[in-house]
Amino acid sequence: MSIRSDAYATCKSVWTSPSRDSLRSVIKKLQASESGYLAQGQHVQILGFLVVDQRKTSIEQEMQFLHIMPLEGEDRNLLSAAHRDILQLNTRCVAPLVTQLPQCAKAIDPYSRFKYELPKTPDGGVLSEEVLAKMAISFHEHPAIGVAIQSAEPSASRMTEDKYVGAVSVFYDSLIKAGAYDAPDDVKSIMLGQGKDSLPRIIVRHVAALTCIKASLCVLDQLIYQAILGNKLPLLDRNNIFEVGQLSNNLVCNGLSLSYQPSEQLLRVNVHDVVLVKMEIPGLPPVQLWHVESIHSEFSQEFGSFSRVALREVDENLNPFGHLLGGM
Amino acid sequence: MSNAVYINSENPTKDQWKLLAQYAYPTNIVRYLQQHGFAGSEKLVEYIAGCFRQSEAYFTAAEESPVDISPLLQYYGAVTLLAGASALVQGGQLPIKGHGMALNAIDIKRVADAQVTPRRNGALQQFAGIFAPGCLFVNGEPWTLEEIFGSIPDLKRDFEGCYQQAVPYTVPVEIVKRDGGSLERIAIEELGRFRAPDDALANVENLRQSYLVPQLTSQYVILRRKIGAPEIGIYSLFNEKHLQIAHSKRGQKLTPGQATSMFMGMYSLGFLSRYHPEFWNRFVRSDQTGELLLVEKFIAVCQRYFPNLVLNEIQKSRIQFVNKTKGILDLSAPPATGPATKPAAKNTARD
Repeated sequence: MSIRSDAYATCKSVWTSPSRDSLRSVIKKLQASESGYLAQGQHVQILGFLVVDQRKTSIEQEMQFLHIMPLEGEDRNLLSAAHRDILQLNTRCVAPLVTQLPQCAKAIDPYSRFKYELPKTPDGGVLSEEVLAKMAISFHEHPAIGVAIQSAEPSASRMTEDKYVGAVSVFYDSLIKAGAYDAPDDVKSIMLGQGKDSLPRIIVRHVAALTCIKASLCVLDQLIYQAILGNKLPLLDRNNIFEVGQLSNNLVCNGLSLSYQPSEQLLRVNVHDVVLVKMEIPGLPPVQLWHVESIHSEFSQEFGSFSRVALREVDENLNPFGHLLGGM
Repeated sequence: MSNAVYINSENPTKDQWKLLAQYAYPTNIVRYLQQHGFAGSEKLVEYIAGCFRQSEAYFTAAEESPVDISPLLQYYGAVTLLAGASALVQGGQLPIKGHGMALNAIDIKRVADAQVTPRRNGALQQFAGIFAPGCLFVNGEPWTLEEIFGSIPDLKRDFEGCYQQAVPYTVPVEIVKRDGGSLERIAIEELGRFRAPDDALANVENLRQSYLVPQLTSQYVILRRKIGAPEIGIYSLFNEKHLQIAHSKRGQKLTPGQATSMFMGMYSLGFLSRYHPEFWNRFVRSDQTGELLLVEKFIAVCQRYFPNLVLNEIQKSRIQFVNKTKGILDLSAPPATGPATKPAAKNTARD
């Protein structure tokens, strides 16, 4: 069993959760609302809707054309309960690391950039205690946790919580900025120019491991969010792909560009979605999870409609930076 | 057949026969047979050589003859060429007994009304087994010449002009190559004779296996090839791709392919002129409808393209004769045409 297969089991449990249907209806309703675009643009799943609701007044002052309907009490409760489950899951997943290195907790929290206090709501989320525990135990086997602990020594004593947050955030942003087809220049020079035992490399390895943990939690949370909304991951396969573009095997990950035609089965893919690609592509597994980095869509009467997506491979640990951990 | 081979030529008709004439020489025949794993007796080699030589002679005679007799000469050329080509690609002579089809032209008013009825055992079915695999003619089910003319891409415009109500069996497809991947598209007006675009596309064999779900816009039906899927469709003399609409015969869908359709048409016209001179003479001498123009075009297209299609099957590639200047490799930026426009400037900058 891998973290990925346990994540699938977690998602399946979401489908049978009593609050799933009503939660899905609320999210669909909000997605279609005027503020839905804003909320989804935050790329923090359910928290996006809660944050927009909380900041309603200031957003309306900034964007005067926008009128945000406040969340109904029951809807807010549903969203809060589900998000609380996800927060709990994240906390338990990284417990072995945070016990040893408490000052890194905020840095690896996918939601730490938002100051949002969840209202006290009755129970009724989407993950049972049993599912939470099982998923957390599985995540404890994430190789990045071991790497982060082993490489903590030279830096941990000098790193405050804020420094951790800054280091992980800067490193994460540099990986995203470099895109799915390349590694940042700094990463290349460290990996190719510094010995494995050199101090700079150990420090970067430590930050890289924490970044991988954060990124894996992001993928796990995204999978759960998508499981609330649907029973299947978006599938890109021979029935919608018409061109395999760039394929990159770089120091950070595998990157892939695909062009696909929207269909009834696959109307829309969003940035940050996790998709399943089922296709024989040399050098890649025939079925694999990928994280959507960017989308370019076109529609015209002359050429019809299609989208081109840039994808980053998600490995069996749900890590979208899988090569980084092994090479660092 | 998607692997196109472009051959520079000032006279494609002559040059295609030069390529076919290779197989009138025993050394070349033996080499071809050996390359394809066949031994080939002396008798077989002579048979093949004779077929190719006679075929060219028949086609040349047809070219130089009036339309009164040219269809029959052309048919003899075609049947002889197919016999030789079949023996070459199969490594053995086909046990052909009879044409494998019969013509019914009693009381017809138009050439298009003549009917050809395939017989399951005979030359037609045996040739189709090689040149249109999967096409099993239904015994005794007639085909009109209108259907056959409607299946030839190079006749489409003339066909639709001549037969105002007739539905064609071929649809031109435009191939568009773009940065975001190439696509194929059918202009909506090309489907005007069908009840709906779906009516035409539903009868294209293997469409679902080869293309993603078609997209319908106000101007085109957009078709995108599935990755790794075999190409379907045929090409006109001028390299225009067409999708073939299957013929429905007793509930069975048949797509005979271009060479086989031409062969059936040549048989029909050959036998119509030979065995129904009372009709053919009046038609040739005093056609009032313009159908003669279509018939002459069919004969001209067969004269030029049928040997080319047979050559394609022998060489397993799509041989396209072109007339282009050679010896210059132009890697410079394309010249700007007309006043500098934004797209032109953008392209130049990118290139």
